[in-house]
Amino acid sequence: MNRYQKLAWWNLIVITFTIIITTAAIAIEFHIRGYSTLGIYFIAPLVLLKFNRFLFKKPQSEGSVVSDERDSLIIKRALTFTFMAFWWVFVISSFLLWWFIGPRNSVPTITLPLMALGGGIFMKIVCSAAILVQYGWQRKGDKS
Amino acid sequence: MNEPKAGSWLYFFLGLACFLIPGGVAIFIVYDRGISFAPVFMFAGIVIWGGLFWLFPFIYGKLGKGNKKVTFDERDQVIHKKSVMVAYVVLWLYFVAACVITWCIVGPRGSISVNVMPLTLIGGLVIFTTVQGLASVIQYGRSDKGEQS
Repeated sequence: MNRYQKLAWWNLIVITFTIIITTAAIAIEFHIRGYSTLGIYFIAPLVLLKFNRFLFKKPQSEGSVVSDERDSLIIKRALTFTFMAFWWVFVISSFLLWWFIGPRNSVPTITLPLMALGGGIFMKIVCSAAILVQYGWQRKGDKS
Repeated sequence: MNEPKAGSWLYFFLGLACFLIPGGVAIFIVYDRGISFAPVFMFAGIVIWGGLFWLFPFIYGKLGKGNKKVTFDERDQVIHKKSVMVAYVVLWLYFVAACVITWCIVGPRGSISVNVMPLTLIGGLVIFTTVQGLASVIQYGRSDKGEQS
């Protein structure tokens, strides 16, 4: 498993962990108080994704490289696919919100930063999944 | 000026006109008469057109494959891919900026009209097309450097 595969798994694990604890916190607070305001603070573990550039930089064997041209191509393809997927999610979410709520109504402003946060998480998930799919889910002789 | 470069200029102006004119008319109709089939159809058309517009050079290249004259080669393909990538990155930044700036201006306890969403979408389409066209033109260079069509 090379660096980018490890990073992809790292992203998926951190995001899954954050979604689980945030959902649990909101559910518990909602059950106790009838509303939830603390849930937003439980997204703090997402900060760990910012440390990606420092992680898994050491090659597994001496004399080998961390990444080559094939890895760069896979990353580029994954990013292109991610942005394309984000575009369609952006379009669909904008239209669905408009369609279901109605053009004469309004939404709380907190919806917008939550949409941006959701978009960022969605992009990380899609990019990580695209990287793993391109490498294949199992090891196929690739070494870092 | 070779054919892809002329195409990128055409793409730039045609794209802008295709999004801005029907988008503006649809917004005016919704504002004046309320929601109806016509503006929704126009919005949907703009979005589908905008979402698939970047495929146009590839389709054009495929259609012209039978011709002996090469109009869209590997270099043009790389330039086009890079332009699309740059446009996507700017679109993402625009989306985040639009969400956060609106939140900051209105305040966390305020509310905004849901019409902001399709307007943000049309703004995104315009920005995407503009950036893509500009990126293509910049990569081809401002002046002709020996390229021939």
